[in-house]
Amino acid sequence: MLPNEDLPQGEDKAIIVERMFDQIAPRYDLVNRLMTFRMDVGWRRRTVRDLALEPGSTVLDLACGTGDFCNDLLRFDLNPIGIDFSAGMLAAAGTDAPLVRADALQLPVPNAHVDGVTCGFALRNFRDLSGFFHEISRVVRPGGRIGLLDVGQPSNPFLRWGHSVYFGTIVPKIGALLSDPSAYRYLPKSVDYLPPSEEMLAELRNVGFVDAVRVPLSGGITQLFLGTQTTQNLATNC
Amino acid sequence: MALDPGLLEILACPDDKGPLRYLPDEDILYNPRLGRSYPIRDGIPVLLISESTDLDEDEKKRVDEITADGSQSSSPEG
Repeated sequence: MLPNEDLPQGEDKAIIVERMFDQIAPRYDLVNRLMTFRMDVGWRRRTVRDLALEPGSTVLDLACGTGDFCNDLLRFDLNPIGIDFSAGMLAAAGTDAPLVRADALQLPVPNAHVDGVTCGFALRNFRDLSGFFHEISRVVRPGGRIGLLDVGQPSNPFLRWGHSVYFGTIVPKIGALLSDPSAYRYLPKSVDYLPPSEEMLAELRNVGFVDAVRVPLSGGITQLFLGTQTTQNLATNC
Repeated sequence: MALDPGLLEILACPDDKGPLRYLPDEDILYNPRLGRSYPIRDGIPVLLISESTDLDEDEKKRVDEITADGSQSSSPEG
């Protein structure tokens, strides 16, 4: 299903990623828990805490998948709305949060209409990351917050080596045993889609999250981007 | 299954970002400005332009008449 050579781009990427997530949806949560040794739970809860939004705030969880982030947002008395492109993931979702099938690059939300946005481990799956940053800037109200999680690269060389072995070799085997081999071979390769962290930070600041920071988690194997909307970027309104 | 009212307050057309009208009996969200409907499947609004339907004139007239009595709209008008 997935190409073994160059990673797909543009619309091809969108189609392939959607089909992949439709296929792996049934065991997605199980594989995540196993391959992160449940650290993913702590990463998401740290993100929600660091949003520091008032109870009752509305937060879009983009690429919500099976609803893990929505459930963490609910635990903190926030009002999540889960949005995903994949019908399969939404069908497998286990959350009481309202769900919408939509494109994170063309959100069905007016300008400056939500208090926050979260996104867990999906930045590398969007066909246009710059477009995504502009779109979240459009929908978050001035003073609203974003918390974006994705894979990182440890700064410690030994940890980086160990993580590379684990992520490149062991994770695909876990995924192959429990789910879909090609999807979990794609996972380590998909990290190549992510620009350097400094570039992502600069872009987030340029689109209006001027205080954007990057927080390495668990020795840097995961990174969290946090920011506050300080301007209203209407440049990408339709 | 009726849509969550809180959700309706947030949603807009992914194309023109304007308000949508909710037709619960037909399981659609309707954009009167573009004459376009978006389906609701298994209680989940599908707000992808690729999944929308452009209504012909007769259908637009029918849906406009149904919603002319102030049926529930998403997000603030105007």
